[in-house]
Amino acid sequence: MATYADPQALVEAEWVAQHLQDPKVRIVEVDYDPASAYHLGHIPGAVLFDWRKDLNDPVRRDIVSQEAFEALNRRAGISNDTTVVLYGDFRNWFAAFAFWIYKYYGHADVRLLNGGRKKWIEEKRPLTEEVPSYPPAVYRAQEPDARLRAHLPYVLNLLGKRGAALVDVRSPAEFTGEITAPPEYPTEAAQRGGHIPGAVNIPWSKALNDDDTFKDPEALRRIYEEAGVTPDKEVITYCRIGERSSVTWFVLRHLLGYPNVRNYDGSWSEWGNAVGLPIER
Amino acid sequence: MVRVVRTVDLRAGVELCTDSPIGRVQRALAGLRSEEAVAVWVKGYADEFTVTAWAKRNGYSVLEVQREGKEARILLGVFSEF
Repeated sequence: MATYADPQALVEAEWVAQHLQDPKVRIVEVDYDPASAYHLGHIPGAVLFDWRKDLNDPVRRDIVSQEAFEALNRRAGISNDTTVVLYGDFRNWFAAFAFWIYKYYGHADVRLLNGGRKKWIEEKRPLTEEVPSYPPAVYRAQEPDARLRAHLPYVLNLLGKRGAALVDVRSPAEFTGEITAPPEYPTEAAQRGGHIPGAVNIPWSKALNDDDTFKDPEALRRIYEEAGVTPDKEVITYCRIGERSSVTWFVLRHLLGYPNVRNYDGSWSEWGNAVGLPIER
Repeated sequence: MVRVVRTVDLRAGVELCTDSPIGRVQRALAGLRSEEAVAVWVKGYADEFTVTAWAKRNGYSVLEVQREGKEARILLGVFSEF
């Protein structure tokens, strides 16, 4: 059986269970809604990263700055040589987003818990409401790795070019423009529905089994190659705000080993609101 | 005796492009009276845990949990000391 391209990027629940007391490992729960996740119970020793507050700039629309990311890790007792294990709510979307940010800022050893929060609880593994505290650590982020991220002008420049593949990982209803964003997420609304011209629709969830673990390498390869998303291409993933697309970015870059994959975190909430950009439905 | 006034079905494995499961439960519970209940269908222990733990933490009562295989029907009501 084939293995993932970067097997270290993914850990199983049993591995985490055996490293709960390992001082070199820090477990981080990354939630969109901690009130319905971390605060109800979390993996013993896990610290909370609140996606909205901790991984986004508090003023402008952007991911957390290098300086704020360093401070976040220091507070969590994470140093540059810590093995960081991420998991979270919403089927690991925001944990995958955090994984992407860790790679963007050059962290050496970051891993995603296969199956995330759901599988951990499903297996009735231990949970606690106790919030841990760790001594502050020394953490220095690397310069951002621009090869992992796409901004709007970069995506625009790739439109229609051979050798490029745009992967829209949203649901089919979002891809066709039937849904833009629901009222529950007012900051994610778009003026227009549809997708970026030339994009193929491969919903992020196709990469997962029913228990939220990732499918095996052969199955994953078939899903993307049959849609024309092959390793020789420059691939850009996007969704609505860049978190679901982080899951697909993780699959393509770390599980399948595609060499050139960027996450467009501006995603549809940027493209669908921009004046004059081309849109397909 | 409580009367089920609303039902929320979370068994479908939500795509979550629209709304969070707890958000749906929360809306169904809004305005609930003491003799009323909301039925929540879940699939798997993780969702059962999340719904019941969230309800207890937010002042609601878990009146009943009926399990059928991997599925469960959870009855939620407003908390009453009497």
